[in-house]
Parts: sequence; structure tokens; C-alpha cells
Amino acid sequence: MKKIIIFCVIFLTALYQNLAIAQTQQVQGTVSDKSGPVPGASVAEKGVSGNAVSTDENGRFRIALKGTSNTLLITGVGYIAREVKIAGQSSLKITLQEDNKTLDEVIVVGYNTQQKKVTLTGSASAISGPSIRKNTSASIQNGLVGKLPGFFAQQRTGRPGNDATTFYIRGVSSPNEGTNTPLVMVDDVEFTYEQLQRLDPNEVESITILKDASTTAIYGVRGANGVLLVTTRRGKTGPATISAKTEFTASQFTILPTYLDSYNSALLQNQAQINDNALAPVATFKPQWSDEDLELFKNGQDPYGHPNVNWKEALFKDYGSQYRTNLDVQGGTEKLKYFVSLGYINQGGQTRNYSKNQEVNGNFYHQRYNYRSNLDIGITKDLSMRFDLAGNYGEINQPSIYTPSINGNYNDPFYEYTSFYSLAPWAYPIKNPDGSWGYSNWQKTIGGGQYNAGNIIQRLTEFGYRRNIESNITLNASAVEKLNFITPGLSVKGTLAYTSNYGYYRSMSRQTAPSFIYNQATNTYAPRDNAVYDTPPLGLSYDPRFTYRALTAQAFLNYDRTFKKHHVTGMILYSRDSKTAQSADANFNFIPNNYLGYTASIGYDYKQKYLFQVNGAYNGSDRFDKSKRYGFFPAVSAGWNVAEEGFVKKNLEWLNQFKIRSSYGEVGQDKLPPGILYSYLQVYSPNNGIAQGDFGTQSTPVSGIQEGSLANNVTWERERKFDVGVDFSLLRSRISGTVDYFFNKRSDIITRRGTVSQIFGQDLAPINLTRTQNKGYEFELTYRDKIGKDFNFTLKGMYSLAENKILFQDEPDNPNRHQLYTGQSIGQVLIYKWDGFYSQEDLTDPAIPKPAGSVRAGDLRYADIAGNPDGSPDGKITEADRGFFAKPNLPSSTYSFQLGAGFKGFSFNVVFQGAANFNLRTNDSGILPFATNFLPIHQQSWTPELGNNAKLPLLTQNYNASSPQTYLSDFWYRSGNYLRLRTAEVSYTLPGKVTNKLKLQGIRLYANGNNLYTWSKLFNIYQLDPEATNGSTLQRMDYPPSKLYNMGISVTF
Amino acid sequence: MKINNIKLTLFILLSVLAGTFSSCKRTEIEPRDLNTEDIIWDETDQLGRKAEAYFNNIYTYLPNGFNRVGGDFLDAASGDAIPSRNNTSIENYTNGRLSDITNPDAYWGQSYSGIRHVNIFLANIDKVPVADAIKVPWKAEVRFIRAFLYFELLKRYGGVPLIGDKVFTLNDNMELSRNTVEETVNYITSECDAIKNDLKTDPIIDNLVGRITKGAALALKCRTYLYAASPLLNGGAVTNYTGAQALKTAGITSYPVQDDTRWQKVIQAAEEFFAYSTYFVIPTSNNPAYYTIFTNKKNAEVILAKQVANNFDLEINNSPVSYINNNTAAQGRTSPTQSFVDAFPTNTGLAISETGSGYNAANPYANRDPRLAATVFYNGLTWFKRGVETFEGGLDKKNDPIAQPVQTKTGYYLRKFMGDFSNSTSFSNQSHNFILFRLAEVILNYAEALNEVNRVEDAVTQLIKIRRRAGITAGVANRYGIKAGITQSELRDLIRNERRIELAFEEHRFWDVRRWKIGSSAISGPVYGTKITKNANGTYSYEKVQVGNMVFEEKQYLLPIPYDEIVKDGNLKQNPGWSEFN
Repeated sequence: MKKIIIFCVIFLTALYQNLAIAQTQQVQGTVSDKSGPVPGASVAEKGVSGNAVSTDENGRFRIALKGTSNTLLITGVGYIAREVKIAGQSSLKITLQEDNKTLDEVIVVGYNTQQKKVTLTGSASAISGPSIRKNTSASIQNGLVGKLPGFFAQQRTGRPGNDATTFYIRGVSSPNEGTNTPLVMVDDVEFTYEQLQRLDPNEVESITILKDASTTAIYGVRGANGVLLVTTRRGKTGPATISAKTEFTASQFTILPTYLDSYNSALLQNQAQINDNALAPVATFKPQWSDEDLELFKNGQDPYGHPNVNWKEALFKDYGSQYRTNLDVQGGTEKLKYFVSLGYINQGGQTRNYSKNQEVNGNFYHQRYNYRSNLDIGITKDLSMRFDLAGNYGEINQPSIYTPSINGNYNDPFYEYTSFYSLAPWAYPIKNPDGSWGYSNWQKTIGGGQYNAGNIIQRLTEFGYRRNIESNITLNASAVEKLNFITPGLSVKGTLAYTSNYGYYRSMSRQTAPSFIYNQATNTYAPRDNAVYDTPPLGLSYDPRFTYRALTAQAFLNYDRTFKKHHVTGMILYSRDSKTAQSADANFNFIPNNYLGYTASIGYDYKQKYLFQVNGAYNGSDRFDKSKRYGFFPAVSAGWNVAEEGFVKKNLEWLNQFKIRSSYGEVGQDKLPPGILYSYLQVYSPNNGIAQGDFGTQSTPVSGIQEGSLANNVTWERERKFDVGVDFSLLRSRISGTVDYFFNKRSDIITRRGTVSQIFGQDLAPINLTRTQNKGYEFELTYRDKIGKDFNFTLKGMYSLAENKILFQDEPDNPNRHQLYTGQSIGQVLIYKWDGFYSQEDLTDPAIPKPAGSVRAGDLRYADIAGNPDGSPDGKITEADRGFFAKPNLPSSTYSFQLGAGFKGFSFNVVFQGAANFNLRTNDSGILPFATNFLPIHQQSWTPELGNNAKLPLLTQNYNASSPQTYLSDFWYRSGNYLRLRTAEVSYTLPGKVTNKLKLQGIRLYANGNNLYTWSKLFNIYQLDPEATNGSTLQRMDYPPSKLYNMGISVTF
Repeated sequence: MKINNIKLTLFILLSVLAGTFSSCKRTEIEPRDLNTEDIIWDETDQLGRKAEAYFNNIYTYLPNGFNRVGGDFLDAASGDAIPSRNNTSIENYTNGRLSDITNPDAYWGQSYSGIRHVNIFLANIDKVPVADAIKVPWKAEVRFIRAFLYFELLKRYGGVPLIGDKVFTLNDNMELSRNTVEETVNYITSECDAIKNDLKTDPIIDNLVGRITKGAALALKCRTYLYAASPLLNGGAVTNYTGAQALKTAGITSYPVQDDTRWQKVIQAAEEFFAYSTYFVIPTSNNPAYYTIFTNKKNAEVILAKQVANNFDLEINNSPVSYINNNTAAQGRTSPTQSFVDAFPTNTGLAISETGSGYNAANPYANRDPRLAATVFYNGLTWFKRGVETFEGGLDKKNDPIAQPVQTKTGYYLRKFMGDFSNSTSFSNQSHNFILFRLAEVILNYAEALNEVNRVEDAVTQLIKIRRRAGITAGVANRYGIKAGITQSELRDLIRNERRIELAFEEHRFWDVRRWKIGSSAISGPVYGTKITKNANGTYSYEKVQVGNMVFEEKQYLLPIPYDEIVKDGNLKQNPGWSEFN
């Protein structure tokens, strides 16, 4: 790969040299505004495309004229563009007027339409490329957290190649898993989440999220969850600009639990056994570890018989490394504009590199090559074409450590690290005195042998890898023809795009290798497995894993014309796409999922003052029956730029912009919940999950087939969205902001009925039934100013709230009203309410309600809230006492603060981001003693002395009343609220003098980071990241998210 | 504007659009590889191959009993055993935690699901032109399964909604009420009578073993009448709860009035079975060994068994925990109780408490009924070429919760149904067909009914058949330990004990203690095991120790209909004591 990059650099540099033509007449000058020189303004010669320079930090420029217009065009961000006649002068003083209203700021909305922000009537938020690139994470969506109001995201894991956040726009509206995900459109082509996370941020020009009906209605049946639009970079008229960027990143877990050492863990284990023995005392009882054992654990004098291994240190490095490099070329003429980019990222893992000398790479890593070539070709004056080819090729590698299937076959060092039975601090010595791999009788026999998986360091060293290899390709071609001969402003556009994602799986691994149990007394070595003294060769396996293809075709008729004060826009779109994917359900493998639709949009504004927009889509998806395929999704919106009114202009000079806008409309959602595909077809399924019969003395198997769940003609879910918002800016745009309130109601949510008796005898067909609402608000406030000549700064705050509620769900008329899901927020579970710990006295007190079964002092005590027919407490802890006592896992509010400052070549930017109002339930392997290794919090388990100050119930090996499996309570749900230093960046752009000497356009040095610091209670209690996957009993600890420390250099040639 | 350019543009656009539209003539827009209704009920297939697959699948609704409830035997809640693992769902039956939500038995929905598939089959099979010689037995067999599923509901809940041949659609009213016990019993028995002559006769040919025969229909009829005549359903019911009396009077939880002539129907049904069966015979001695009943696919003592491919799951799940089969340790999930072990007489047929039984408390497993060694692993029984060690600290009872998180709680493990691996070093696949009906049960049903109508000596004759087959010595006057002049009441206890040990772990005891209404004595109070200490001289000392406690409430005689079902169907009455809310 390196060779390819070097080749490209040489090739492109040569290209650049050829383009640089000898210069003729020189003009120089300075550009300034009221307060002083303007650096970075663009000075271009009119009529000669590509001949442009920018001003240096003192506002000076020098340009060689080649054409005949003798006119310079000066533009700068925040200034009104100016044309200056040269008229023989060779030295110019040019003053620019500040453009306070930023009226020309544009935002990309649906179907890549660039719309002036000031005339937008819908609700959309956007972020531009440079800001996205401040986040060094390998997955692009991780860079959006905290930067877009209404964007809710959680990064569940930091596993290389798999660390993308799951995100929602304005929260969720459907109780079904997997049907709340926003539509992702990259240059008008629908991408899957997997494809999105492989996109290189360097290729991205802007990302917009569309939030309300007015902006999403044109996506019709697919728009209800909001839309994330990605626009890639394109060529600009001018000489070739070559940018190269290289970054080195150190990654570190945000948090990985640090477990107690052997001595302290052994004390706790003994205590648990002492507690359990007290229940039914056995005279001969002795706890697991004698005083002698404890002493040896403590003094470390018997490292083979009584090991005390710091597994965290043994398994994990302090820092993982990540390397990223990008090279792109951008430029063009009127006839041909190009943006070509190459990128490479290598995201390393954090397990130690034990497999170094094995000639197979058993580390965690993700490496990816990205490429993109976006071409714009002007064929005639009226016809232009674009042709984009982009894609990536990547590998995700993980160690193969082979765990026996009886133990869940997790095959994951993180699971083993957290599991007490898999890897207690005394599990085994890593190496024996003779250099062979160590093992122990403890590990061999524990749990009846089900944790006898072998020495984990040995497995990381010798057991090889599992690897996923993936290739994404997207081809996107389109043509635009201006139809000015019919009427000015009319154009037609056609797009054809193809995208494909193909992946396979390969592993090179082994499952056994010899290790030995060393007996110091006899100085002998016994093999772990009597049959294994040899290391067998690695075994190869291969499996095609994933295939996805999508073909999209679109035809647009666009109209955009200004008649004096009236501005009219219009769009008619015919689009269709067809997606084909491999499915886990063999019946539906590679059946195209077709989508077809017409979209129309009409916009009108009067002097950018009164704004109207009507959008509509008529489209459908063939996942539904013919009769229910198509739907019409209209939206209307209007806006009023109050600040444009004469009386405002006259009286409130400080008010630059004040726009009130509102929209209302209906959008659809056509994703079907898992397991419901083609719900209008009834399927007779073979084998049905029940053990198949066979007959005869030879047990001849017979085939079976059975009626499957009933069919029903379901159709899309519909969401009515209302949005009202205000955009404002004042004090010459020093202060600007947006406030939005939304109220969405979703109906016809695809649901399985919950009220038909099992006497019916069959799973029921899904129907469009559940109704929910989702409301909330967002605000964004920015303050930017300059102090003196060189110092500028920006302060920005954002807050988003989205609160949902189930308005109707088909559920039995439960007499325990507090257990009805209707009225609750989405994602709630029925649990007990924790109410302290049972004391010894509580046990004998009949007035204290208790659950059935054995209860002992130190067990979790639950509140008795119901049980009697009239709903009053019944003095017993029963299922009736369960209620909704924990918040859902998805935060209902998220907020962020940004601070940016610049001084001469230095710039500084930090983003703090937080989320609130959500709970995280940790996994058993995260907190339950003997499921997890011992944490310091276990030392504060219940004792009579601690009483209700205890942090955990009585230590025991046999949970009954405290078990999160049988008595799940809010005790196990902890507040996930957090505040993070999400990104921070310091950069320095070398002064023009230095750059010029090096014959370069610019050099920028920067250091930045991600997730640098976190404030969260979960850090202290459970040593768990607050964004981790919400636990269930069966789940395990995952690879934690990472902090990234990054240093980079970016050079523009 | 140059016309050429426009032409070019239009040409390109039209080509693109034409390309897209041309694909409008789409085929295969939805799955074409699905089995749809007309493929299953193929009106041209004389062999009816898909219909046969549908028929085969209905067999999967026959109950299975091995480690059925959350990995444990149902009998681990019958007082015969307790689960070795902690916090298993089977404990709900004995720890007082059973409710209409926590009942771990899925047979309410499961049964009606099976019934629906039978009804679909009956409604459609006549479309398929299969020869009557094939079709007639098919219909009879699925109707047997339907009747059997109703019986499964009857023994759990009493009278249940009878839906006949109805296949419900989304437009049907599902607010069904329960039928009476009498209607349910009559439906099951009349179905048995209606189909018995359409079923295949016994013995069935080797490659159809497992299919339902006439013998099974007669045995089901006999069993149904037995439950109908027994105290619980025969006017007994559950009475100590609000509304209980009304349910009884309505005939839903039992016949409204007790009627001892119902025993006559059991006798008639048993006699009809014996008159029919020339194939089903019980050996006159303990040869072949008792355990072979459970390990042979075809057996003259077995009337119907649930067929599965040979495996050794049962051995892995229940063998003593020290036995490791190819790196997989056995799990020893089932711990038989001391009271169950004590229920086995000595080989004289006398109970261990009786004088002259030859029982030696210092060597408690010697000279016992041979069925004990075939049912329970006790300390010293040979397995994998060595003795089972359930003494304290022995290989199978290490008392080390870390190395052996699961071990016996009672000093015993379950041995029944396993192949003979006493001289093996690893398990091999073994026939494990769960027996649904076998001859010994019909004989015991018969004996019980005869005794209840006070034909005591006729009943003794039947009981002797069982004891002789078990390997009990003939003893005085060839009465196999049954004393001369035994009273009806004494014989009742003896028959019940015989049923307990002969049919142990075959999902009888759990229901028997309910239909006899003896829950408060049989499955309530302390549970005992044995604590075995190995002495220095190699002998063992035995001590009876309490290992648990069982809670039984009267309402448990009938199981609760799932809570959701009661709330969904306003006309469905919950069994007494369970309904906490309505």
C-alpha cells in the first residue's frame, strides 16, 4: 500500500507541475475590512477559471494575470463579494464589506438540493467536513455526537471495525427493535449502517440530518425516522490542490475494570462460602482458602501454586495505536472538475501482541482502504455529467481463542477477562519454571470442567485469528441538462447508481496446544489434557458472509427561477431502487426489495420574506401486498423572515435575522420488525423449531412441515410530524441560534396482537396497531466574536430533548393498572422496586413483605406496591409488585457545549457532550460476584454492620431473592448520565512565509482527541462505560469504547 | 441552443429511463420457494408427500418427558426427587412460588397449537387423492393426538374449551368458555372409540414403530376413565377458595357429584385392552432386565413412546457429576429423595419397615427390589467401571461449590432410562424414547379400579404380575410379599406405592398425587436425603438429613391457566385459588 501512495504522490505532483504555467503580469495588494486586514480571502481573476490565490495573514496577495478582463473577484467568508477593476494599477487596496446576515449560507437538504438556509422552512441541522474530521474515530458517525441538535447516539463498543455509534434522530417512536433507524443517503444513494461506518470522513463535504415533515416527506414511505444525508466532496474550479494528511493515534479504553488481586478476591470468596454455610451449617465446613493459602497469595512466595496474576497487565497494552493517512486532489476547469481521494486507516486493538512471532496475526485490528473519484464533466454549455466511483476494502481481525461450547463459546478475551471462573487472579501461572505454558488444577476442574479452556496467553499466542474481509463499491452517474430553451430555470437530471457490499470470513486457527500443571513439591509437570503434547497445524476455514447490492435510478425535473421579487422552485422526481441482500432466513435470500416513488415539491418565496413550501411523495415498497403498497405523504410548511420587514429593519437594527417557521405533514416507515418479512404471505415452514419426529426401530427421520404464523396485509407505519421553530441572529451575527419544538404521533405501528387467546392455536399475523407519540425540543445557541485583530472565538451550546410515550398497545386488560405498557415510554421493562436490604430482624417480622423462597439477611428488599384485587399491597412480594421503575436505555436528553478559539495560526476547539435521563443495566458478567471477577465494590457487600449502607447484597454463591434473573429490580439499573469531553483539538497553521519558502500552500499541525475525559457515576461504581450495551442476563462484557489521542500533520501542495 | 445537444441529452435520459422501466416486467418479486397452502394439499399427488410431512409434524406435539421442565424432570416436583441445581423453574411447584405467571409448563398453548394443526389436517386432507388405506389411519392417528392433547389439558386444568374440528380464523370470536369435566372426558373417550378400529394394529411393523396403534387408543381411554374416576375429578375438586364451589357445581373443576361407578368404566376399558392385546405381554420374571423396557425401540411392554433419534443427552444431563465423557462432565441434575428410595421394598416384596423384610440399615441398598438399582444411583453402584461416590467428599459429592457447582443434594442420582454403561468408559448413543403408554400402567390402572370396587383379590392378582416382572421373590403362597387377607385400604396404599416405583419419572407421580388428592401428605413438608460418611475401615455410615422443604397448597391440585389467557378471554374461568385479580 505504501508503494501505491508514494506512486500517487509522485504522479500527482507531476500533474501539478504541468498545470503551473509560467506567469505574466503581476498584481499585488491588500484586502481589509473596517477592523483590519482579511486573511484567507480569495482573489480570482475574472474570466480565467483556476487563476486564484488567497490572502495571507496580513491580507496581502499577489496574482499573475493571464486573461483580458482586468478584473479581480474578491470573496471571503462573511463578506459581500466584490469585483475590482485593475485599470493599470499594480498595487491595490481593497476594502470588503461584512455580510452580517449570512444570507448566502446554504444547507443541503433532500435529494442533494442546496437550499439557502434563510429560505428553509423545515427543520434540518448540518455539519461540514472540517468539523467532522476533528473526530479521529474510524467510524464517521462517531464524529457527529454532540454536534447536531436532535441527534441521539450511543457508542456501545470500541471493538476495532465495529465501533460505530447507533444513532437516532429525535429519539425513537416505535417499540419494535431495528425499525427506528434513520434513512441514510449518501449522494442520493441509500446506504446501510455498515456501509456508512466504512465511509472516510476525508471524503465528506457535509452531513445534514432532516428532522421534520417538510424535509423528510419527499422520502415518503422511508422518511419517518429522519434522514441522514451525506454529501461527498467535489472538484472546484482552480488549479489542482493536493492535500496529504497523516495521523497517529493512541487509543485507550475509556474504562476497563480493574479487579482485586488474589488475596482480596480469596477473602471475598471465603466470605461468600461462610455466608452460605451459615444457612445450613456443616460441622466439617472449611472455606475454599486456608489462612496459609491467603498468606501465600499475599506474599507471593508460591507463584506457581498460588499465583497472583495481574491479568489486565498481562492481556492489555496501555495504548493501542491507530494510523490514518489521506491523500486527495481537488481542482478543475469549467469542463472538468475532479476530486480524487485515497485513504488508509489501521485501527489497532489493545490486546498485547503475543502472536508476533507466529506468522499469523492474532491481534484485534481493523484496516481499511478508501478510494473515491468524483468527476464533474461539462459536456456542453447546458449539459453536465457527473461520474463518481468510490468504495473501500477492509479487514477486521480478532484473535481466535477457542472456548468450549458448553461455556457459551464466546471466543472473546474480554469475556474471559471479566469472568471469575474463566480467569480468577489465581487461575494459573502464565509460564512454568521450565518455560512451558502454565496451567492449574483449579482451572481444569472448576465448574465441573466447563471453564477448562487452556492458558489464555498461550491461546492468544498460538491459536491464530478470525477475520472478516469486506469490500464496498459505489458507482454513481448522473447527467443534468438545462432546459432553458423551454423556459429559463428548468432542468432535467437523471441518476443511476449501483452499490455493492460483499464480505467473507476467514479464519486460521487451532483449538488445542499443550500446557502443563507444575507441581513444585515434586518438581513434575502434568499435562492439562492427557492426550495433548503436540501443537497441531493451524486449520483454515472460509465462509461467504455478507452480500448486499442496491441499484438506484432517479429522474428529476427541476425548476428554479426568480421573477423580480418572486422566487419559485419546483421539483418532480421519479425514483426507484432495488436492494438485494443475503438474509439469515433462507426463504428470503436475495429477493429484491423494491421501492418506487414519485416526489414533488413546490417552493415559493417573496423577497425571501414570506416562504412557502409544499412537498409530497407518492411511493411504495413491495414488502407489502399489492393493495397496500403505495401511500401518499404530503407536507406543508411556511416561514416568515420577520427581520426583513421594513419596520424591523428600521427599529431593531441589531436584529439581523429572525425567522419563524413551521411544518406539518405525514411520513411513512416501511421497515418490518425482525421475523416479519412478507407478512402478507403465509408460510408453511419445515421443522418449525420443534424436535422432529422419526419412526421405526432404525429411527428413520421423516420430514415435517407446519402452518406458519398467519398472514396479514400490513402496511407502512405513518407518522404525523409537527414542528415549529425560530432561527435568529443578532448583533451582526455575533449571536445566532435555533429553537425547535416538535410533536410527532406515529400510528399503525406494526405489532403482533397481545390479546388473542392461545386457544387460537397459532401465532397471529402482525397488524398496524400500536400508536406512540414523541415530543421534545431542541435549541442551539452560538456566540462568536473577535477580540482585537487576531483573536476570534466561538461558544456554542446545544440541548435536545425527545420524550416518547406509548399511546396504545394491544395488551390484555391487566387489573394491575401499573403494569400496563400503554402510557409508558418505549423500552420499559417490568421490574421490582428496590427498598434496602433485609436485616436479621426483618426476616422474623411478619409485617415486612418477602418474596417466596428462601430470603436471608442481606438480600435485596423489594417494595410491596400491589397484589390485592383492589390494587393495594398484599404483604407479599409477587409479580404484581413489578412495575416500571427504571428508565429506558436510550437517553431522552442530550446536550453539548463547544468552545472554539483562534489566534493567528493557532486554533483551539473543545466539545463537551452529555446525556441524561437513562438507565443502564449491567450484565451479570459486569457485576454479579462469581460471574464477574471481584471489583472493589464487592468489598462493600452487605454485612450486618453496613446494613443499608451496603453497595451490594450479601456475598453468596447462590442468589435467590437477590438474583437479577428471578427478581430483577431497579437496584441493577443505574443512572447512565454522563458528561464527556467528546473532542478537543489544538492546531497550528504555519505562517505563509514559511510555507511559501517550502513552496507549499499550507501546513497544519494538530493534536486532537476523542472521549478524553468522562464524568459518570458508573465509572466509580461498576467501572463500566455509560454507553455500553444495556445488559441482560445472558450477555457478556464487550470491548469497551476507546479514548483516542491523536497527532497529525496536514500539508497542502 | 444546439439541437444536437438536446438530442444527445434526451437520448441519454431516455436510455436510462427505458432501462429502468424495462425491468418493470419483474418476476420473482416475492419469495417463490415458499410452501404455500396449495403445495401442501396437492390435489394431484396420490402419494400426498407434503401432506404426509404435515402429518408427521403433528407427531411432534406428542409430549416428551426427559428433563422437560427447564431442564428437570417433572417428577423433581413430585416428592420423588428434587433438582440438583439452584433456582430452576421446576422449584416453582414446591416452593410456594407457583402462580398463573410462573407456571413453567407450556402445555396450555402447546396443546391448542397441536389441536389446531390436527384440525387443519382433517379439514384439508380429503383434497389430496391419497388411497384410503393410507388416509384412514392418518386421520385416526391425528385424532388420537388431538384426544391425547385434550387429556393433557384435562389432567392439568379439569374441563377445558372443546373446539371440535374448528380452525379459527382472525374473524372468529375467541371469547370461549370452559367445557365441563364430563364433556371433556366424554370427548376424549368417544374419540378413542371412534378411531380405534381405523388405527394400525399391534404389533406394528419395525419401520413404523412409534406410530399410534389401536392399543394406544385403548390405553388412553383407560387412563382417561381412571382420572375421571379418581377423587380429584370425581366430585372432589378444590373447594376452599372463593368461587370454588360454583365451579365444581358447574362441573368445570370436577364432576359435580361423586359417583363410584365411574371405576367400572376403568375396568371395562382395561378389559377391552387386555382382550385386544395379544402382542403386549409382561414377562413372568425379571428377564429381560427392567431397564431394557426403556432402552429398546421395540418392546412388547411398550404401547406408545415418543420417538427420537438415539442420543446420550439423558446420560449427560443426569449421570453423577464425576463421570466425564470426552471432556464433557455429566451434570447430575436430578436428586432422588430418601422417601422415594425408601418406597422400594426389599426383594421379598415387604416394605423396609416391615419385619422379615431383610432390610439392613447399615447396608441399606442390599437385597432390595431390583428396580431400585435400575432407577437410582446410590453410593457404590457401578458406573463407568467404578463405584458411584456419593459419600461426603466423594467424587460425586465433593462439597466444593467451585469445582462442582452442581452435585446431588440427597446422596442419590437418577439412573432410570439410561443405557447400561456400568462397564463402559464413555457414553454411546442409546434409544431414549419417552414412554407414553406401557403395559404395566394399564395393569396398575386395572388393579386400582378393581380394588376401588372392592374386588381386592382380583386386584392382588394384577399387582403380582408387576412384582413378578420386577424380580421380587415369590415368597409365601406365591403372593410376592402381599400379605394374605389384605384389606382394601391396605391394598390401596400398596398399589399407590407400586405405581410410584414402577412408573417413577415417567410423569405419573406428579399427577397421581393430585388425582388422589394426597398432596398435603405426599408433596408437602421436609424433604430428606442421606448423608453418607466413609469410615476409616472402609464402611459407610448413613444419616437421614433434611435437604429441603416443600410447600403445597390445595389450589395446586389443579394448575393455573396462564394469567394472560384469563385476561384475554373474559369467559375463561380460572381454577380456584389462582385468580388473584378477578
